[in-house]
Amino acid sequence: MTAGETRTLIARLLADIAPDADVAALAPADDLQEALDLDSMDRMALVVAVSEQIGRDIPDREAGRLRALDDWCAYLAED
Amino acid sequence: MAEMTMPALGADMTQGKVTQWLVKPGDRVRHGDVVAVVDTDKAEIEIECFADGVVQELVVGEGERVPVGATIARIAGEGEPVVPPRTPAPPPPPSLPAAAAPRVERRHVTPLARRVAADLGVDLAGVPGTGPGGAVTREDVERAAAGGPAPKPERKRAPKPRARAPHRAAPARTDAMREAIAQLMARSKREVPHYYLESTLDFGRAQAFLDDVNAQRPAPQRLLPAALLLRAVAQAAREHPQLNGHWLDGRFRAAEHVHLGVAVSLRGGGVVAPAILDADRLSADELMERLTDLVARVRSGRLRGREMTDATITVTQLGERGADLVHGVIYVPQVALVGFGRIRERPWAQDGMVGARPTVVATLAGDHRASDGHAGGLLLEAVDRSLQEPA
Repeated sequence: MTAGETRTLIARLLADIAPDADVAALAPADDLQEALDLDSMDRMALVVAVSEQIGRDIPDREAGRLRALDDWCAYLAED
Repeated sequence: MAEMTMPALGADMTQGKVTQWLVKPGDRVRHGDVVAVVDTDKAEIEIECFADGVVQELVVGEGERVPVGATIARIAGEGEPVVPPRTPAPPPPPSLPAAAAPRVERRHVTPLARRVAADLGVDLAGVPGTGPGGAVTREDVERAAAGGPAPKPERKRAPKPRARAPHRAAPARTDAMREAIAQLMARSKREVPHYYLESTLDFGRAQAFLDDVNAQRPAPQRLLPAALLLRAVAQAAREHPQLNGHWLDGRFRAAEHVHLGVAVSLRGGGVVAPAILDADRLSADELMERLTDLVARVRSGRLRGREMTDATITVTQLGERGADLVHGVIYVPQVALVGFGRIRERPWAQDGMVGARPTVVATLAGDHRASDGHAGGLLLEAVDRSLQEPA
């Protein structure tokens, strides 16, 4: 998945989780949880939603490191 | 004949609006069936029927707001004759002189439908009504606006609650919720002599347990720390009944069950604290499942009446990015509130050594009329014990 595709995917999924979040305004290195005021359940919901989209589970250890859009882009680069 | 009344869905509620009936006159209902959706200032709540029988009359139409305790429906008991259903009395249209509307032809249009029609520019005269007694409902107006066909008026089955997209609370709801919170919290601080306790608890074993369990599970089945915190409070509340119950009519009444209120904040502002029923009987996995469901319904869907009224003790958890501790305000008429701050590593002295451990500051706000600090301290100890035995 290219970085552009990842950004689009994350933005679409976040629109369900945090409808008022302005993902377009995010810098690539912004911590999503801080920038969008997500709680731990929102964060978990994002991991679950991305897992469903890419068709494979994201291990808990990896999920904990996925904090910014950059992290997601790097993690999904080979999907 | 049983009268169904507008329930008080929380100590702060004085009136409610029936936004949707899920039954119609002639329908057979049983105790516990969800029969209507009521809009309080805080949320849309599904309310249940407390009698077995047949719906005789829907006294209040969709969109009507009535005070708590007002009759909203009549249920004929088993074996009682069912009088042919009448349509709900239409409220007088606010701006229309009575003579302007032909009496015979006048159909009931719910105020909500009227407003939506005005917003959408729909002519109500051309909208077929599918509500009780042929009333025109919001759905009818929206359907007309969308150009869709009306469903058959005689719906046999209650419509399923629609899954709705999560939304930010509308400004009107936010204002109303602020007002409701203001009333409730002011009353608590005015009437309840709070005492406060706090303990810093070692969360190391609990975290290790979570890491271990979550490493072996796919994302949808993973546990958050909240599951263990809720379990710890539910079990502690069962062990210490003097903190689990309500202060009513000048005395404390211990509850027979532990219905654990969980404060859930809304993205648009405000907080709702519905209950997980019989939480002391649930495992961490079950609590996680209920919590996920509850939060989703608080934020995007609907709550059940009992969830809003039956909490016996409440937990507030500040989450991963919140403050270190919270001195909470008790949800009257409950008598205790347990708070958890952010889980973070702190220096931890044990066996003459200092190390870094994940810790959480647990607080208890207790109603001093119902219990004393000693009892409260024992409850926090019980919470700690549970966290040290997470499995």
